[in-house]
Amino acid sequence: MSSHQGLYLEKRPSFGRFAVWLPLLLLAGAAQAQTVTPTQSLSFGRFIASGGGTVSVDVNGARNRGGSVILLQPSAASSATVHITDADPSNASKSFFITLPDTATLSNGSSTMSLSNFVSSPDGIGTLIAGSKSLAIGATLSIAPQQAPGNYAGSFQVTINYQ
Amino acid sequence: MSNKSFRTQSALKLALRSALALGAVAVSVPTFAANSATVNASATVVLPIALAKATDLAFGKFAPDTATSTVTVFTDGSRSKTGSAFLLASAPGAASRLNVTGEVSTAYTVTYTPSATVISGGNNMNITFFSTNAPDNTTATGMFTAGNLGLGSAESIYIGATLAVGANQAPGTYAGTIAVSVDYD
Repeated sequence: MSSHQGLYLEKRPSFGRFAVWLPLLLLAGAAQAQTVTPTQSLSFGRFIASGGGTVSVDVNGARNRGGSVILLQPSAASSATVHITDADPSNASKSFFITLPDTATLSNGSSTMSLSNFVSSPDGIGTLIAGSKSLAIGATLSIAPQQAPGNYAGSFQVTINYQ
Repeated sequence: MSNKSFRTQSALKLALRSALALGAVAVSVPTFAANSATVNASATVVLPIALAKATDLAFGKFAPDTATSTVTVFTDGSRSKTGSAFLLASAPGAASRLNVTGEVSTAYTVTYTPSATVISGGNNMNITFFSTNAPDNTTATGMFTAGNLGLGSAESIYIGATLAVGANQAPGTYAGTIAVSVDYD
């Protein structure tokens, strides 16, 4: 009985030390290994504002219009892509949360248009495959009636959190 | 007794270390495992395309003959005839000019809905239109349909036509229309 207790006591602290410190080491590794790199911009191409409306680009880069906006061809529209990598082998199949913004702004001088309804593929949660995954992102652009002609530019943040 | 004391201490030590470590983990998650990228976005709002008529097409005045003739107004505004019709210099006619404006270096398509005839009361003459974006092109025969606004964001379309004048064509003022529209490709 007493020797059994002795054995139990001897093992438990050593297991405990291992269990406590392992997660910290993994997290430290993750901080260095994960990268999130934009590989393609989100582009809405060329269109005539007319009486205003919306232009949306889906995750495949397909463009759709709403209201009286007139889309011009060739489209030149594209969804955004972001490439996520993690060189740490222990994260090779890790899942992650994708956080997209609620809104963003494109501007040309003092003229602006707003972006909303961001969508991504995968949607919400993604999973690394062999430590790598690409996200495609689309959004909807709101265009005012007689929106001032010109080239509009802006940016938005995509955030990846490991589950 | 000493055994029991050791066990208690160890358990406490372990518990304390676990608590500290868990605290560290909880704080570390957002700091270490989140990663963001800034993605660029762009759009181009284009000027609407516009079409304005600068000049109507006119054949001027001419006198028919006892045989058929043709009268042509070229896209540079010059006038010529076949047959024995007589062209009056006092009313020389003019080519039509239409001005297209819009977005720089943008392609567009022109569509035409021409009259087949010009009419004066119960009389008419057949008319055949042709057009070009090069005003000096006097050999244009077809219709100019594929335009590009170029660096100047503007282009002109010139329209000429040939009239088939009948033998002893009834005098009068004959009129017809050619409807023209432009659209970005």
